[in-house]
Amino acid sequence: MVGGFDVFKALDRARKEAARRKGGGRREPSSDQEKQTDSSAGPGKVASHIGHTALPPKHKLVCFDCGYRFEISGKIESILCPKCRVDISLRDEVVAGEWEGDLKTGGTVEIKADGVIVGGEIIAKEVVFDGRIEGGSINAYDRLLFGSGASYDPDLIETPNLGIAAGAALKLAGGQSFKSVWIAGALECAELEVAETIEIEAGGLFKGKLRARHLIVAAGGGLTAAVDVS
Amino acid sequence: MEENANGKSVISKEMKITGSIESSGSLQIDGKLDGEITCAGSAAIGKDAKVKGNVDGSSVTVSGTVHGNISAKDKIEMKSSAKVVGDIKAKRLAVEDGVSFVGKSEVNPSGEAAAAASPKKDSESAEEDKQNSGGDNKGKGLSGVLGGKR
Repeated sequence: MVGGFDVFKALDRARKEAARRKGGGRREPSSDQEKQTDSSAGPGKVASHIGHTALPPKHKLVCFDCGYRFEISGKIESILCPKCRVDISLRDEVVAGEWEGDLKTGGTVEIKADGVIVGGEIIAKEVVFDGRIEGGSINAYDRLLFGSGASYDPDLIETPNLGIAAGAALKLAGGQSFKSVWIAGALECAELEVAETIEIEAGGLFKGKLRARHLIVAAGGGLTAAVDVS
Repeated sequence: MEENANGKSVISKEMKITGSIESSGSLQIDGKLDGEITCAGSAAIGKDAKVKGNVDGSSVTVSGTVHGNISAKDKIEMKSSAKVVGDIKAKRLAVEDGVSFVGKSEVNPSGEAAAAASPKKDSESAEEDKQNSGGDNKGKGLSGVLGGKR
């Protein structure tokens, strides 16, 4: 038995089918999910609302015990190493005042202007360094940001990527090498080798001798150096 | 050499010039030049241009190849396709990623940089402590560190 509503449904199907054939044979999306992902809908079709899917940020981590490198997405406080099952903290930490002890995290360690590292081992993905180091060691296995109040000792601080914050001034003796360098303050180095990119922001300045693969200087950046970027 | 409606002299891509060029206006070089450029206005070295000689202008934009020194009263701009072998001197500088540059640079828009923090060694810090009033370093402040070695 055919009801009135069935007639309307049949007419609607027929209309859509005709429009589909006219539009070049594309199948009409039948569900809301399909409608949303059908980004190339033609005229008369359901327009897409979402061009891409928002994904949480990804973080690269290194296990402090076994050295295994892996990637996670999202923000979490701790995770087990997939290889050795050691618990890895991912919390951000702040050091103010005197610190003597080990601190290992896959997050960021901020050493305040009154922070003094007198001993112990600090290992973090990123270190924002605005204090002093008199003992121990700091290993920022991703990036170290050198602040305006910091003192730097190349024997005690290790990082592949160095950042000089605006207002900070750092002088490095001898030859130094980094994977990348970002300068918003002032950096002076007798011989700096950068494996990838050195970037000088407006207001930043580099003095010395430079050898790098890529050089980027923003308008307003300063460069007083012998340069070899080739 | 052409001159376009904006009063800029243009050396087109097909031209090759041996000798110096002096201009009281602006200059655009897209061809080859063996010689020096002295320009009161702006000088632009095009992507296909090759210049063997010094370039001097109020501002210089390099997209091609320059074998020589570049000096500008105001700004030097190196686009991503620029290749520069020589020294550069200007008030301001902008360098895009991809540039090849070998030479010395003298660009310091803000004048002399502030006194830089030097790396501290144990013996040097001990020496500094002796010279300062005796006692511990706590509360010493960072001015002693930053005002250290140059």
